Amino acid sequence: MNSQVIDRTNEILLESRDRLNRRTDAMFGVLFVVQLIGCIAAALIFTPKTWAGAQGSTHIHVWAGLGLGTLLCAMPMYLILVHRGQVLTRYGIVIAQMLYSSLLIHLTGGRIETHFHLFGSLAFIAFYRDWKLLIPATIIISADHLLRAIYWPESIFGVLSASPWRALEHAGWVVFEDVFLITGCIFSAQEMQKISESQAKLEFVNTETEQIVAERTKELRSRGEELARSEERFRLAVQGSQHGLWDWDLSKEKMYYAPRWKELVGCQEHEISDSMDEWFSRIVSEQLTRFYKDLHMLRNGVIKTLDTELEMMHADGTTRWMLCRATAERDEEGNATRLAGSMADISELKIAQERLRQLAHHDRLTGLPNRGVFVSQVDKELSVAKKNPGYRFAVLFGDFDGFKIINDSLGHAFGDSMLIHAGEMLLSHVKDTDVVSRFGGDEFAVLLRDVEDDEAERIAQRLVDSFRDPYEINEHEISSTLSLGLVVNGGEHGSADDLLRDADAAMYQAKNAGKSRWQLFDESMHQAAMKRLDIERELRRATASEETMNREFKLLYQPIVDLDCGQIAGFEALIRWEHPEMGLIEPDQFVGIAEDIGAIIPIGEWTLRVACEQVVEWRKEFGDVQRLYMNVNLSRRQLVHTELISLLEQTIKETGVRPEDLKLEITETTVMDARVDAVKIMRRIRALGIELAIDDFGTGHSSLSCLRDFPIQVLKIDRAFMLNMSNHREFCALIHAIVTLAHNFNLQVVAEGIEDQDQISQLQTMDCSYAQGYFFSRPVDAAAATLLLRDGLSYSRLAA
Amino acid sequence: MPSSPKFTSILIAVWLLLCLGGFWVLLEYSNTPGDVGKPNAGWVIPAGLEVETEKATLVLFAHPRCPCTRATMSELERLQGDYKDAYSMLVVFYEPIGGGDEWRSTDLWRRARAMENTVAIADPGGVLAMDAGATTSGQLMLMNADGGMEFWGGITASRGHEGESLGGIALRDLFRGLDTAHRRTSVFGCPLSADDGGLECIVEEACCELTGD
Repeated sequence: MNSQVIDRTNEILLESRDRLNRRTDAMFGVLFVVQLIGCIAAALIFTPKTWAGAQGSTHIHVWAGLGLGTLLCAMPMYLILVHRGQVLTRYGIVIAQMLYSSLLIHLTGGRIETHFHLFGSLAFIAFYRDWKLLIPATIIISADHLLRAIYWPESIFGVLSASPWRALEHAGWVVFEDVFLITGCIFSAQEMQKISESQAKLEFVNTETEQIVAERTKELRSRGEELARSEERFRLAVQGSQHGLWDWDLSKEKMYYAPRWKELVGCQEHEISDSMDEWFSRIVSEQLTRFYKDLHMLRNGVIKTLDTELEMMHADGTTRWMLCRATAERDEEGNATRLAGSMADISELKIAQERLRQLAHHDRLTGLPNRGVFVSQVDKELSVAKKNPGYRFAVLFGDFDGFKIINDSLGHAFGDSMLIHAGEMLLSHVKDTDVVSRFGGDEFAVLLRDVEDDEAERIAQRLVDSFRDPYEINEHEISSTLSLGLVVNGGEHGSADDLLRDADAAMYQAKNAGKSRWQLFDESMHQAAMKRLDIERELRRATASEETMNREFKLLYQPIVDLDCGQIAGFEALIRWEHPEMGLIEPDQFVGIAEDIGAIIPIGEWTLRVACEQVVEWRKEFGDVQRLYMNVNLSRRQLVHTELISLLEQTIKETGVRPEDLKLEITETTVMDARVDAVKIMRRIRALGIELAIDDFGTGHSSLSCLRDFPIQVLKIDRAFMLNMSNHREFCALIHAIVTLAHNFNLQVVAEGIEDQDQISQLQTMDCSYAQGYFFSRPVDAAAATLLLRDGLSYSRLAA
Repeated sequence: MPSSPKFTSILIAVWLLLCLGGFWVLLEYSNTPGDVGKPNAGWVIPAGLEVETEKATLVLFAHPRCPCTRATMSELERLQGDYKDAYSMLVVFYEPIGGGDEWRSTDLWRRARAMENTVAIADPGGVLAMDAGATTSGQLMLMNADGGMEFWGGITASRGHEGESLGGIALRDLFRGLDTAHRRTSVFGCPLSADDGGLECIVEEACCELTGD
């Protein structure tokens, strides 16, 4: 037994004793009151009066009962009230009680029955379970008898002097009871000690148990709270996910449907029973068999979980797509005892998926399949054709002539309407099995499956014809013809891309041939395409370094003649590519490609630098007396290139060319394609002192207002006007109008493509100041140009 | 109210002394015998009473309301239970002059009447008792068949206290035919007369009757 238990045992024992003492004190308190009443009653009953003859008086016993009884009662009552539970109180009570016994015995005339009160008092004192208290009690009895024996020997039953043995017997019974009671008290005290020890141990164990229980309770509470939180999270998650739970008890063949499940199928709580048929009956018949199989596999353990999409009937009569997930609970033998899972409405998700699929595979504007779908379909046709000799299919590739003008003039919304209309028109002329696709912009492609003889050509013609006549869209009558390239394939092509490339080439050919027509692809077009690839490759090689550029590129210079004096006013620098293997390549054969692949930037830099060096050289030779400037062409990509201004500054600085000797030619189309940016850049160029010229004016689609808005100084009228000048009087009027307009804007006018004297004469009558063309000189190299300058060739001489 | 241990101890001591004093007074009273009187050796049982004179006669002079005499009566009842054939008994109850029936309806009277071989008579004014020399209730006188007095005294150890006493032991010895050393014992009880002159009046009346005055 550890010290804690011992200490606690003592504490409990003290507490028990204190409780016992207090309780017994209280009992004696009551007893004393009763005894007081008993004393008075005994005196009044047994000896109310004493007599002397006929005269009676109150017996002394009555006064003794009242006085002595009260006195005996007073002290213990005081102790009980003031010192309850204390040792002093107990001893006071013992003395008083024993004296009370004496008093009662005396007042009742020493009746033997009253002596039982004395023995009862001893027993009552034993209630304290303190044997020490019996000692003073016994002493009081003994003292009482001893005093009587001394002073009133006869009162002790009158036998003390006569019979000592009786006195001994008398004392023996008292001792007997004392021994009996003392033994009882000791045993009782030992029992209390044991009980206290047991209680202490019990408390100790109880405390430990309570601690364990408290810790366990805390842990359980914590777990409970965590579980509650987890359940709350799960509930919120389920609510948030909008899943409807279900639980199928296979042993009872009963189904539990959560309220959310019933909501998903549009039913009220009471409208769904616990039968599995409630579910099965709502699955659309086409999917029911599959669902049965899935459940069967899940139940038999073939699959661990079920994750399937079902189309189910909703209470409102519509169908909804549901995502059904389930798992199985199994017994020790692996047999499924229940299936449980969730169901979620994924109808919106399915719609979104369908929309995404549509967007991924179809053109958003027209709803037609996009290029990806078209290519895959063509690949399939290629596979079919390769497996089936004789099977032929065709691909049409085309765009709408002048669509850009319509789009720019009538707005993109109108252009979109036209494209939608075009898609519908194309669809209306092909079979349902054919594929019409929009690739982007105004480019469309048509796949004609399983064509026979000239069927593809006839359809191509029909499609072109359908767009020949003007048609009305949004109350606007428009005319936008269709140019088509046609490839008829029997499995010869390697891929869909090859086919489309060839169709594109054929369409290009159709456009070149005058538009609004279709062109069947032939091998020459393929060769042209191959040649283009060769040029692309070689351009990349040739522009890779300045060394190769110096070696392979050269500039020719075509003079620009002042018609007033017949002298050369300047030159236009024209680039030529002398390929080591391909020979001389004209600009129209490679400039466009260079523009496409970005090689135009290094070519443009090289051209600008060489042209500037040349004019500086001429300035050195011919001085400042002669007017001389150099026109250099600027492509669209160069114009919008971020480094253009710094390039010009650097070139002026490095070559020393005077900015006023340099003119940059920009085509109408270039300016119009990037109108805002172009104007800004042009102004910055002008700020450098360089003049700007609009090249090929009249062939593009710029408005005349651009003459006012653009910071240009020179207008070069396209050669096409000059070619028709002799045959068409209206062209003369048009040229005259342009010249007049240009003069109004203080622009110099240069007529391009002059080939004869008549043209010069007419231009002179129109007050056109400058001209350029083969009539004066073909583009010549620097040496020849130098000779022209040196010889002072004049217009009159050339004319002669 | 003061509650210090010292005060309490003093209080207990004072209280104890008072209690012991009270007890001393009480015991002193209880153990102080009454006047034993001078026995009249020639006293005889009045004639006309149905007392068996062939055997010893035990005469009790008692006050019918004396509480102390109840113990004597109880001792006599026990004695009679043991030796009822050894003697007859006469109980002479004091009765004041002119005392009514209430003096004869006390418990002592009832108990005396209930005893076997016992004659209870009233003794108006205590004449017979005075003649016999008895002055205290509880006084016993044992007369043998020859009229000789064998015992004179009480049979209780103190006032109203039952139990063995020297007088009781002496009577038992005598009834068994033994000798005893205690033929005179103390008597504890109420005085049979109040010295109110009643007795003298009765005596005077008796003398007048005898002289014819």
